[in-house]
Formats: sequence, C-alpha cells, structure tokens
Amino acid sequence: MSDLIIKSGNLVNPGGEISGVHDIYVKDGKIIGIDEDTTKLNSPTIIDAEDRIVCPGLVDLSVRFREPGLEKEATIHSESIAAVSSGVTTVCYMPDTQPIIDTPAQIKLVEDIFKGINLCKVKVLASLTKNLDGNRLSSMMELKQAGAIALTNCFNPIKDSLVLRRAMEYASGHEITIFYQPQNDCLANDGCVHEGKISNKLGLPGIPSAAESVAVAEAILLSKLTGVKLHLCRISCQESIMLIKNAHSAGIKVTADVAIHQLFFDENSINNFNGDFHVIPPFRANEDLISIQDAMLNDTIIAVCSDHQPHNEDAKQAPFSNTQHGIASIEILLPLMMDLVDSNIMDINMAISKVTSSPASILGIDAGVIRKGSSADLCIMKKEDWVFDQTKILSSGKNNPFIGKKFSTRVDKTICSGKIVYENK
Amino acid sequence: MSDYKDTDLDQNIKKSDIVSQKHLRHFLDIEDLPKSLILDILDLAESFAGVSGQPVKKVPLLRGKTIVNLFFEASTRTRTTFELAAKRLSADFLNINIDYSATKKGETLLDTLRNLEAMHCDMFIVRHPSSGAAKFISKNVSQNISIINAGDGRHAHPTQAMLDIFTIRKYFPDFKKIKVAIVGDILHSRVARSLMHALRILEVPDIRVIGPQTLLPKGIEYMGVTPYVDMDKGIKDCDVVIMLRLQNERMNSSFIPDEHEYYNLYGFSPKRLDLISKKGIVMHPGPVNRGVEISSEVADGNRSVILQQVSNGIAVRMAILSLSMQP
Repeated sequence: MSDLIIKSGNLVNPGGEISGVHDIYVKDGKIIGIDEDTTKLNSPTIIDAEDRIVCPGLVDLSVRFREPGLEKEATIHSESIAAVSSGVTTVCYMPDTQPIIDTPAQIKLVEDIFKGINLCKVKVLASLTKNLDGNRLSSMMELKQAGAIALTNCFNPIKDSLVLRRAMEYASGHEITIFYQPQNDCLANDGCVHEGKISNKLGLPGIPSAAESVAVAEAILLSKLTGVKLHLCRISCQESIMLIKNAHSAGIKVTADVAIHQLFFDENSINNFNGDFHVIPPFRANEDLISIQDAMLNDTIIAVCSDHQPHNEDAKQAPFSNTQHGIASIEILLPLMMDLVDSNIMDINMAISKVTSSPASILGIDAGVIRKGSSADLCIMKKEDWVFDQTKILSSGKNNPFIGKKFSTRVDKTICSGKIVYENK
Repeated sequence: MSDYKDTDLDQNIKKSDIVSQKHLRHFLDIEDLPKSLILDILDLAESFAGVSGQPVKKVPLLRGKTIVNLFFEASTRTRTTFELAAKRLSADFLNINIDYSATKKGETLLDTLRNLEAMHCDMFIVRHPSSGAAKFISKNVSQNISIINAGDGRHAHPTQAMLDIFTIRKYFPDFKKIKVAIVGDILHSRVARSLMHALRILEVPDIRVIGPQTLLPKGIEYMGVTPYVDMDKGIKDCDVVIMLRLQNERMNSSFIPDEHEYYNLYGFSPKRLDLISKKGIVMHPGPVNRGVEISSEVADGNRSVILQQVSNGIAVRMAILSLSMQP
C-alpha cells in the first residue's frame, strides 16, 4: 500500500475539528498529519483534490449484501463495489442471511469474506433472539465477544413484551447495544403500504402509523426500565418522532435513524402498483415526510442509512403485495444526501454528519471523522451532473425507484484504510 | 417529492388503456375512464340486452377470437356471466381455474401467463386475490392481448360496477339527481371501490358509505363519499342502497362482534325499507348471506333488483368484451 497525500481538498468534517482547505497525509492506512508530513512519506501517491470536497468515509447503519445463502440476489463482492462507489467505507451487516447470523462462527465467516475482498469494512450485527424467532435469547455475550457490534431482530417481531424486556435487561448488563426495528406485528397485520389515502384507493392492505409508534413507545419505556443502549431503526412517522423527542426531553438516551428513501418519497409515490416502492416501513403520508425532515434538522433523528436491500429481478415481478420489500440504494447514498443539500433541506455539514460521525457515534467506533491518527477512510467528491442510469448500476439489485434521477454531485474517489478502493472514470 | 419515474410510466399506460373513445386496450379499472366512455358502454350494453331474449342468442362480433377466463380465485356468478357473454359474441372460450396456492409454490404468475400467451389467445379475463394483479398482468403481456379485470384483491371489480350502474340507470336515468348508499364491508370490497369511482364520474351528488368503523377504511373521504356509522341515518331518503356481502372470515378476526349484532345494526330488514325513498331500490352483488346483511323478505321482495343485476351482467360484459377486443 503506497502512502498518499490528498492535496488541497475542501474538508467537510462535521465530527472533527478541522475543516476547510487542507492537505491530508496518509501512511500505513492512517492519517498521520494534516498539512504536515510528520514522518516523511515514502514516494507517496499524490491526489489533487483541488475544487473537490473531502469528507470522512460513510458509515452505513444497515445493509444486506445477502451472503451467505442468498447469493442469487447479491454477494458481498458485488455490493462492496456498489458501496465504495458511494463513499461508504464501513457497513453494518444485518443478520437475516441464510443461515441467520446467531453464532460466533457466522460472524467470523462474514468478516473473513469482507477481509478477502478488501474494499470496505464491516461491522456485523448478530441476531437478538435465536434464529430470529423472537422468543429465545441468542448467546448475546458470546456474540459480542466474537465481534458483533450490536444485536437486532431485524424485521422479525418480538411479540412478547416480556421477552423484549429480558433481552434488553440482559444486554444492558453486558453493555450490548440493541438495534430495534419498531413494528407491532399484530397492528401491521400483513399490510404492505401505509394505511391511508393510497391503501384505500388501491385496495392494498395498510400498515397504520400506530404499528410503528406503539412499538416505539414500548421500546422506549422498556429501555428506561432496563437501561439498555437502544437504537431505533428506520423511523417513518411523525408519532414516533414525537415519542423520541419526548424521550430525549426526559433524559432517555435513545438514538434513531431513517432510511434514505424515506426522505424522498411519500405514499403518493405508489400509484400504479409499482413494486419498486414497496418498502418496510412503508412510505407514509406527506406530513410524515415533512416531520422526518424536521427531525433531521433538530437531531431527533441523528443518522441516515441506505437500508440497502438488493433483490434479483423476480422479487419485484408480481402484483404489489406479493413483491419483496426493499430498495437497493447504497450506491446513491451520498449523491442523495447531497441532493438534500441542493434542495436546501439541510446544509452540507448536517448532511455529511448524518452518514459519517453520527452513525459512528451510535456504534461507538473510531470512524466517520477526519483526524490525525484515525484510519484513512475518506471520500472525495466533485460537482458533476449525471443521471442514475439503470444500465450502469453496480449493485446486483436493480430494484430502485431512483432510476432516472439527476444528481449534481458524484463520488470521485473512495479511500478505505489508506487504499484507493474506488475511482470514478 | 416527485416520483419522476413512475409518473411517466403511469401516463403512458393511461393513454394506452384508452386507445380511443370507442375502443379500449384493457379494462382494468373505472377510475380513469371518461364519463362519455362509461355512457357509451351502458348504451352498447342496452343494445345487447335484447340478444338474450331472442331465440338465437348469438351475435357474430367476436367470431374467431379466443377468450380465456383466468381465475386465480373462486367465482360462480362473474365467471359464468363472462362465459355466457363471450359465447353470445361467438368467441371461442376457455375456462382456466388456477389454484392460487399451487402457483405460489411453483410456477410464478408470469410463467403461467407466458404459457397461455404461447397458445395465441386474444383476451384474458383475470381474477386474482392480489390488488394490482390485473395491472401487473397487463404490463407483462404482449401487445395483442387485452386484459379484463374480473376482480383484483380489494382494488377493483370494474365490470360489476358497470353492471350496477347499468341497473341503476334502468330505474333512475338521471345520475345527477340520486342518492346512493353502499352498506357493509367497505374496507375489503373491490366492488365498493369501483362503484365509488363510477358514481363519482357520473356526478352522483350524494354518495354514502355505511358500516362499522372497523370496516370503513382510513382515507375513505378522499374517494368523495360521506361515511356513516349509523345505517338508519345513512340510508335515509336514498334512492339506491347497495348491500355488500359480509365475508365469513371477517367474523373471526374481530372486525365485528357477531352476526346477530351486525344484522341489527347493518342488516337490511323489512322495516328499513320505510327509510329509503319511495321508489328506492335495493341491490347486492351476490352471493347473498341471507339473515346476515339482508333479510330474505327484502332480498326477494319487489324493491330488490338483485336478479336483474345478474341478467344485466351478461349484456354489460358483452359490451365491455366487444369494446376491448383488438381488431
């Protein structure tokens, strides 16, 4: 690995102390100096970043690369390529693979595959209950010791509040973070779209906002009871936001994220039964979309993730309710964040913090910040108009409602542990 | 924000669904049909209504065409009236009933379609338990095949709505002067959804939906109707009351307490006839649960037009089939 000097880039570094135009010196995968070459680099590669924005490599709180077991949909290799093309250098790997990640060996397997591919870093989440069954606690401490960054039950419900309480209690004692996707399974009642105008119009079974907010309320109250470090995943409605805000006022330290697509679409997108808009939680009413954008600004929601879910073509080739849910959006995560900046929804520091320093702080890892001594995980981007073209999608999943969207920012280079892992050509 | 991709697609499909005012590419739902086309269909159905009464009940309009009834869900009335309609238009006709649970396990919906396409059929009449299935199929068949929606999930049942308004017009020629109530399980009813669109397009000034709150969907007011929980208030002075079937499975999932209470609150009992307008009629798309949503006395009485709806179904479906067939 050769040493690097990234010259004259405009640093956007919301979690760190240094910003503005600086030179970054990289040796052995680490940032060894800003504007000063402390150890005399050995014939370094020089990257001219003049007129470019340099930000920390993105930390994505939820991805599914489908391996092991679902390689017909995607692989860690195919999706890592897509990830680094969007400046993502650390991904949180969801455990609902086949088999489910609920043993130390499976954590190691996934980590080893990532190491072999050597494009981006992985933090594995393991399952909170055995086989994600929602009833029996997984070997939580063993999983933590094997490297699980947090535990989650993914989309699978924990119907019994007592099981959830025990899981949180046990996790709290061992300082394990729980990622909880709030959805009350009974209230969701096999729905596939937001219960409201569109569910009624199209005759599709609806999921009321209360299916989420009831679960959010339960989780917040149980986190207060148990003292667990709780992270709420993929918030979608204004009632949930109100509950999280109240929790913050009451001193309950719960964090929350939102999937990137929830900042762009509402229920009205699902005209014509287009399965590409089938997501869980569903696209909700326009008021909810506005609430989410507000919650980003006042830090009720501190992170944005891709919620990357690649599917093969068959998954969306069915009537709406029979399609698989999810969008494969990791490769436009950063361009979409910059689109929010262009649309004046938030400033660039806030947009970058939601995908770098904030998610890193939720995970408690040293990432998402440009500082001396840190791993050299960086993203260099440039102003350039381009169109997200279906034929040029890198992910194995072409399930993406953003196809055809125009962007004004493009990732130029991604550097992970001092290695250039992506270059736009 | 915008859905740049889907809007364009939607526009294209809407345009191609309605090739001209007198010709349909597919017949998928009522929502986007112009009023004039709905009236044309009713007029054409009127001319076909005579055919059933003739000694030779056939016209040669669709001779040489092959129509397939593709039913992924059980049906008697709809399936049979489509079959009769097709046969009276002299088309070759094939009934295919597909056990939906079997297709779920093995062959996908698309594979089923490809196989049928390979048999060179001209039209599929589709019933499917998933909302949007007819639209999905229409997007995935070759150009020369027309799709008729015979009911998709909770979404639409447009031919039923057409025959209902055909029946209404027999009694009330001016849609702009009537009050119409739809009673029962609005939430799960594709008939109700299609009817609400049809009545709105025909400018019916007062459309009401009546049922317990559990069976009135959220967002119903966007359909341009007024919801009522109290049936007596809801049907007061209505000219047309359309009773919906209460599906038995609803009883077991706590949408309503029990049949007895449902009948008391929402059943069309003889005494409720006094509440509707003097010339008011009672309709039901069938099959009827006697004693649950309607009493036998009303269902078989002189204000009921339930059997006329069935007869009219043939003429209306003949009109829709002949307008939708590709030349």
